[in-house]
Amino acid sequence: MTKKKKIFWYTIIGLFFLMQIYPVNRPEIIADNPNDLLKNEDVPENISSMLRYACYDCHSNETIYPWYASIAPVKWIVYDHTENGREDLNFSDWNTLSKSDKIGVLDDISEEVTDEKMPLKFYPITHKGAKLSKDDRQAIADWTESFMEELF
Amino acid sequence: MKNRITNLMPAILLFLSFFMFSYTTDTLHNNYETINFTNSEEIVIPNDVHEVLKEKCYGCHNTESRGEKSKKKFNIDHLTDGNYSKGKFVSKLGDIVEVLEEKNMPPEKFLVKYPNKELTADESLLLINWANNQIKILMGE
Repeated sequence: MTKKKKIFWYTIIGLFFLMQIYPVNRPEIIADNPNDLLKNEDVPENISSMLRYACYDCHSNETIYPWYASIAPVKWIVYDHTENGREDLNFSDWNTLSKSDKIGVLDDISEEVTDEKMPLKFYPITHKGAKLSKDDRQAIADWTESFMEELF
Repeated sequence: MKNRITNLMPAILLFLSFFMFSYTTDTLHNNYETINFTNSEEIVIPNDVHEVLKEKCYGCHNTESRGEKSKKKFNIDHLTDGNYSKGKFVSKLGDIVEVLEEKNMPPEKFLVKYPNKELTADESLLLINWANNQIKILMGE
């Protein structure tokens, strides 16, 4: 290796370690959520498993972080998405919502899922269970529509 | 004779275009004053609210709109044609409150071109109060 190449690789490795030191807050995992959607509502089996595998990592307090999610720069992305996801919709806080907010949330879910905006495009690459077919998406939309009417 | 008609053509077209315009606004006006979900629940769209919706929102949020996104998100025609279920209705009313409180509608880009479409503070408040009130009625509160 020439001297130039050596310097280059040492800088890369050095930067990688520096990235690990840079402090970021990991959104907390809370296992017991008495206000959780699946604990309080009678959600059909197929729907609840889709929600768990395709949504709950970012939209609940029960995030399952994969091993690579503790390594920067991946962890920056994962933590950021989890934090924003929970802010927009947190299934763990379902029962704290008013009835009309619940209806609004369900309608948003239907829209995001049928328009294929959610789950995010890259997410199913590493999470096989999050891959939703057209039928799956339709099933979720149908569930939200009937659930919305039940809430009155 | 022929000459006369050709001369009058612009005037005739202008006259007809008036009809076309009043046609769209009239159907809207007649259709959507009250909507019944059940016998006991009645959605009322008062004239002042109706006027704001028509002037400031209907241009994009209608069935004929060329903006696919805007009419998919909220189609004012669906308030009366039975296309929105009760749940959808509540959700859309909630969305109205949200976008107006956050001043996200009409879109900024659109306002650059059409500054007169901006909602005044009074108009915004009128729609927000109306939507919140209708949500309460529909939720039976």
